[in-house]
Amino acid sequence: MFCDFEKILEDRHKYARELKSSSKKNMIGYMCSYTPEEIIYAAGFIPVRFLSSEDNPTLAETYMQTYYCTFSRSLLHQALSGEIDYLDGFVTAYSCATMRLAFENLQIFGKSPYARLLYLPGIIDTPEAKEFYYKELVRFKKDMEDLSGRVITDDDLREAIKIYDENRALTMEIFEGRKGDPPNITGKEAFTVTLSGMLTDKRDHNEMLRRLKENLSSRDALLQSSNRLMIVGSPLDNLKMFDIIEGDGSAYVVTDDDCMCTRYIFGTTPIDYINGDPLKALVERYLISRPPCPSKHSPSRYAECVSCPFREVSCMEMVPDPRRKLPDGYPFKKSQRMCRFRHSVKLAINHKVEGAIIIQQKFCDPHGFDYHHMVQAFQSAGIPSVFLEIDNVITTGTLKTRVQAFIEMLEPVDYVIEPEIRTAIQ
Amino acid sequence: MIVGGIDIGSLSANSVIMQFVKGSSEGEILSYSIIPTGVDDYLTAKTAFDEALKKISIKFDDLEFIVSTGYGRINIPFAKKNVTEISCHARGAHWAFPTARTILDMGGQDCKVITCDEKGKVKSFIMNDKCAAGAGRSMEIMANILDVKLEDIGDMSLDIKDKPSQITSTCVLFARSEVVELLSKGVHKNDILAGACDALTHRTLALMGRAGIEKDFIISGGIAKNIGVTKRVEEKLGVEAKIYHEPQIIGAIGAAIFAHDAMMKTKGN
Repeated sequence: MFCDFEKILEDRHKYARELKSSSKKNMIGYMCSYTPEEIIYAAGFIPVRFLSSEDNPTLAETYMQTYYCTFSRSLLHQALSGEIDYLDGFVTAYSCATMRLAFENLQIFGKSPYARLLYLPGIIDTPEAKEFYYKELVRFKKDMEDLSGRVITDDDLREAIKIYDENRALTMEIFEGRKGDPPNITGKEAFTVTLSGMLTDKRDHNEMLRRLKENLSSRDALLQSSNRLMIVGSPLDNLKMFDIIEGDGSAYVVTDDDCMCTRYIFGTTPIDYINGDPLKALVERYLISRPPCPSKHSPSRYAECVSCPFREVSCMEMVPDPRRKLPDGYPFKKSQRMCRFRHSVKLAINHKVEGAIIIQQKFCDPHGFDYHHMVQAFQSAGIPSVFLEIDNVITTGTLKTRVQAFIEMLEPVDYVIEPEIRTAIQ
Repeated sequence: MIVGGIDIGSLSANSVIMQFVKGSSEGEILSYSIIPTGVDDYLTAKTAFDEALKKISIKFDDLEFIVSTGYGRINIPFAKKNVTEISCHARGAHWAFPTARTILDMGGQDCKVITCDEKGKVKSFIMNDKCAAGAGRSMEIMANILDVKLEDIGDMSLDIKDKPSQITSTCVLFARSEVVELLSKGVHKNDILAGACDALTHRTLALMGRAGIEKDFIISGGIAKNIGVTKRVEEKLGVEAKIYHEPQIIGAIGAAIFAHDAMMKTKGN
């Protein structure tokens, strides 16, 4: 059922080379999910996301110290080693400082024909930030036009947005099955779906998703008595992690807030904007609609959120424990801002999660900084969590012990959710 | 009802044989053994049980249920179930001290802080993940390079001659080269050992800080036998620690209790 998706991931470089020759399209590589792929796509290129590999990132270590995450070093290493020389250019949005460093080294030493860093402010949901990013997108669109030798019209952009939004909508529909008890797809399969989509033409991927949706309707249920887990944290593109968590069938990852899965696909482009300036629509989608990355999300700022009655505590209190009584005045006036903690806990409750695995890529600053708040957010909803530190090479030993011990300590949760809470958290 | 627990750690393998009176959850230890872990987990486990069985008139086949734990827990064919050492240490500590709520397990290659409820069920846990510097292996390395017996380290480290040396707490290999340098400067062995115990204590405290401590506080694992470390941990935390007379077998005790649980469950069904 998932073979088409798995085939892409099996040897992604081989797949990309074949796709490039069969589609006669050029390819642009990007790192961060704040990069507006739609502009690349509208220029007639195929956007391909950089994923880390288990190879030792030796070439990157000339330019980057080993105390930067292996994810960033691995990306630079691949660019320097020629493994991804099928790419015709590189672009990324400025997420965290480490990724910027990796990208700038790639610009200087990577011998690539084209490389642009799209600047992005630290706080992204203000009018100033939107204006700033809009100007970056105008420049980037011009670059893409120069590189492809064709003018990108508003309709080209609208068409690209349509394809991307369809991809997001289809994936989210399929992921609805993860809410079931038991879920009808595993966490590994969910990540396989999104990761493969980052490496192929979205139009083809949409076809694959439509077929999958149909096939899933006749699929047998997964094992019944298993724990429902959630993954949050640093980008996870190594599927071996799922063999550790789901391998023996004692638990399934039923949802996540991870840049390689739901954080990448959640949030469609606001319809009101598409008919106007499509670049403005993209700004809205990337800066406002999608769940934020911790590198663009300040816990202190959200604790001051005007609509939060618990602002002296923290805004995460806005999601109450579904098994407790509702706090007075609930539901509160909805915040205009997308709060990362609230988003994660909401996902957990909607998927009846029994435990959260907080995955931290070694030396990942943004996720390290908001770890404490994330733990508190889950605690406020009565959901236990465990911390796992990973590297680009996933070894089973202590990770397995941690995951197994965590599953052993989980208590069966009686997820009877009061109807009014159910409405409030939908 | 006779059951067995086997804890195959990175440095030692510990077996425990327990007897439970019918209808009671009160178990007693009939015998136990502690042997160095070999390359083959199965052989190690078998040898550990043979050692323990030697002391009593019970045969291996009399063990009705065996649970394995520790790093080697997966590859033991005669163990009908495996449970992580985290759950086992909590359960074992709870058996030894029913008031146990926080357990510091200092083993050969890692160090864990576990909190549990009044039934001995794990509530939360933290493991060190950087390096063996926070664990028993570093003490073995110290003993080796200073040419002292492992069991003497504790007393020597408390008998400070000048002042404790400063030794890194993040890397056991760096610590080793620091010790070589200190020796060449003529620093007394006791002061170096005091520094090594300080470093290990420091690592442990960082973990304890994140986990939080609730009384009663138990120390288990091989390092619990090192008074140089346990005294320092108690001093820094200002909390008295309870230590079982053989702290190294706490995990195996927990495994044996899980074996009894599993039997009761199958019989209940």
